[in-house]
Amino acid sequence: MHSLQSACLGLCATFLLASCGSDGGAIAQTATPEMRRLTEDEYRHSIADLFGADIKVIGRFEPDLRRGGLLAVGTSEVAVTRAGFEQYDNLARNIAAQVVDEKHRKTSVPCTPVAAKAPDDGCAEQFIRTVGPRVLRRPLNDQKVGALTAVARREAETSRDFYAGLEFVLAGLLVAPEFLFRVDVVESDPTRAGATRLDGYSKATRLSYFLWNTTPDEVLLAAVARGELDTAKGLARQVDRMLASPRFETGVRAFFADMLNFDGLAAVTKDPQIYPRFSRTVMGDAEEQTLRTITGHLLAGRGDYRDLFTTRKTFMTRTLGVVYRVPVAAETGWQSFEFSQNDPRAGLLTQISFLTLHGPAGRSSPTLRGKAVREVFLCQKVPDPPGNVDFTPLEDATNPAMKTVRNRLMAHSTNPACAGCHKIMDPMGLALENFDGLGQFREQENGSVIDASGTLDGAQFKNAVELGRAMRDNPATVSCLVRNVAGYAIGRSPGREDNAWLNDLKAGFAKNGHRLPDLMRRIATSDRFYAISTTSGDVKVAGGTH
Amino acid sequence: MSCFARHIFQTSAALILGVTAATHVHADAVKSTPQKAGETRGFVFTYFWYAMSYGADDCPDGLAIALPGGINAPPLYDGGRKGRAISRPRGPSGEDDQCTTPAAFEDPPMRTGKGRTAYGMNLDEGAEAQSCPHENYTGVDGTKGVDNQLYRVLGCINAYRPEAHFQGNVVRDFVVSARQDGQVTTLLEISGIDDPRNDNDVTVGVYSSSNPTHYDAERKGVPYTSLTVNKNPRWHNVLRGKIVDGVVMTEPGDIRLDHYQGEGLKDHTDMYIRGARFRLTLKPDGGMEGTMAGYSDLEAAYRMEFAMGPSVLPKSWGWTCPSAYAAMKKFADGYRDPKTGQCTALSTAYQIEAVPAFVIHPADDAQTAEAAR
Repeated sequence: MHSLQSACLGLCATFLLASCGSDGGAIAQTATPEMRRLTEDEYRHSIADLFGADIKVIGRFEPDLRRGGLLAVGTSEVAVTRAGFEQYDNLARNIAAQVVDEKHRKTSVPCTPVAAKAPDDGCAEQFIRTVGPRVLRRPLNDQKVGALTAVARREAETSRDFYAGLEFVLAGLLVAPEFLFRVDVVESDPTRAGATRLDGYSKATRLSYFLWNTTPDEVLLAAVARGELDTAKGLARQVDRMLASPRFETGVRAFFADMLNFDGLAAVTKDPQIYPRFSRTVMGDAEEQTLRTITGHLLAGRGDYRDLFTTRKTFMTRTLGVVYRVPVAAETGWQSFEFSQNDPRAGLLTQISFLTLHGPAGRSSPTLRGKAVREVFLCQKVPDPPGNVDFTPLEDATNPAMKTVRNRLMAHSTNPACAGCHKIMDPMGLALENFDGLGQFREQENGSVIDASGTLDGAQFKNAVELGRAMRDNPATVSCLVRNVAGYAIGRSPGREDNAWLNDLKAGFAKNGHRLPDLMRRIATSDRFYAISTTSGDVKVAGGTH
Repeated sequence: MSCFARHIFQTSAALILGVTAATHVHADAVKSTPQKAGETRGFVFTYFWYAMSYGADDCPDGLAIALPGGINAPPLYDGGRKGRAISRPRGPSGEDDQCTTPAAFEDPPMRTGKGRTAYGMNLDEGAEAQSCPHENYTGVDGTKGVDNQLYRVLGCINAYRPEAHFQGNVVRDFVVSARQDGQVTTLLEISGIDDPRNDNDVTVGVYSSSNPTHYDAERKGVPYTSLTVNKNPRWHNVLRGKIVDGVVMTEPGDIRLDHYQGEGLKDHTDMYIRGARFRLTLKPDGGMEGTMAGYSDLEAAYRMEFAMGPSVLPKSWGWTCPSAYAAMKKFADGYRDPKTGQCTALSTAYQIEAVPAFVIHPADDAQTAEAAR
């Protein structure tokens, strides 16, 4: 059996070339070409778009890394370990076997071999020329096609199976760095002497994963081939096409799932003795509810982002209805739902996904919820607590003088080392204390009426609904969203050098009524989104095709 | 009192105010709308089976005798005459199945309950003329004149008794498990509540649902699930009632509900209780518990309890169909047929436990009700 690495052929060399480019220490951070490993979500969407949604992606992935509040930023800082490569290898072999099996080969293989048990270079080449550019997100040159065809031939001869040859080649493509990573490839900039720019295929990849969370489609790759992405008009045409596509919703969902730390929902557990309504189904529906709320408001309704903190409109399943204690008419699936004007719930902060994610298994945590509000929605980093904190008073709900967590936190916060941070976290978290650890409404804690009042940066509130209004009107809410979307797009936390860009984005965002699609369009059509080093001496330049 | 089928959604304000009742809604409703008049509370039954007192003096003659071949039922008689159940458990082609046509077989009398105490209500007070001669029980709470003739039939059958040596309470466990497994669901809805402690005019709807009842890992009913009323109008029952000191009491009315016979068993039948009346206490946690008493239609009850088709149940659970049918006819005490003088129903009592639920009425039901008004 040939090694899979042999199927990589020159692809790995290109990978090394590109990675050298990212070592340019003299290059400003903003301009460094990058290699961003596909997240698990991006990988799955890419496979589904390449080969069909019925191709099963079964296996473990290298863990993603959260940096600056986003997994998208962490993708620039992760590699593939030896163990991780084995996992990708297993995934690749499994996927490749499905793609060329009898069920799928009629659609995945564009030709029929002369004999199924013998090599057929013509058909193999046709397959490689069709599939290869889609998988690697750029064309393959004749030399690479020839080499891969030879690999397919050898494997078909060894296995006495034409399709085994295709399977082998495809598995090799799926472990190629150009597939597993979004590799920036630069080229000389014909409009600026001595300068470099991202090549069109790298632009297309950035664009596609930003707006669609998946690999570029054939139309986008064709536009690159025509040089459209190198003109403002051509780029805008493609961006508008992508924003109008149903896949844009997938992209928006991916961004918010990242920003809201929804990768952590799978690990949330609650004590079944305390929260018997907790289940994995509840958590799955809670995540979906929030994402539907967001896309329904921002995309279908073209709503103001800030109103996500006050909206009464959401979606409901019967499973969620039990926790929210509301009737759900739809026997299966989802139905739109609107909380009444005097309901204690409004906005994302009062949804189960947020309330359960930020808390321990057996109780609510105003501190963790408040910390999350600061960090996730206001982009204000709260330092980790000291290592020697005594949480005993906080956990002890039996003290009759401290029935509510507000009482216990006040006692806990008398420690000056703790008080500073608690002052900025706890008020928002305490405003959500009318919702227990599972997000179920309650008026009292241990027989005492819950006081949910507080202040946020000078704005006073009495309860979670008013906290939502304070969040809506807080300027940091908008700044944070702009910063997060920008960081998500470029794969790194925006630095001081990005301030002008961010300010421009923020101004445009406000001018357009805080409409997310407009913000993402502005980013996708901005030079900054595609910016790399300005001189060819800073990085090594790879060829346009492989 | 509110009209039964009007559009009502629970206002979330009720939650703020600590009102924990669930209400009914229509399937086409997607937005909260304020309730116009009277509160509506919905419930789903988590326990619904006979109220059995299991007195020590119930069965002085011993337990009922099963078909021979049962694990706990040795062949006590030799059969003798042709057609006796114990000699011909089944006809060769099924048409003379002793459970399908129990009156065609002769069998020794069933050993039945002779105790003095039972759960139930005095159902025939003032209507004795419609009844057949029978001996009343004293209620578990000391109430005189309690009618529960079905308990006399069931009370000495092995599988209905808790202390029986082999199949103790297996029927109850089967029925309760069927509910827990989602095979049968019963909803109750009280509408037009102006005062949950005392209200002289409320409407009580009792429905079957095809949605499973939800239980948690400890087999406790999950409150506040949304459950849709089955569209079959046969299982839609509406009674008038009142609330006295937090106890809901209904006037008598006939009740038909879906009943689960068991996987693979033939002859599906409804639970059919004539002159049913409820006594239900509203609990502070939003749930409800109490009793339903009434007359179980003889033929429906026989099919529900005994005529389960060709099965091993009469052998292992402790009865014979002919003797059970004969006992039911003997003890029937309600709805006397004026032509034959034979009573066609047996007084009975059920125990009910329920948790709050959102009772969803299918949209077409709502339209039908609106049109009818």
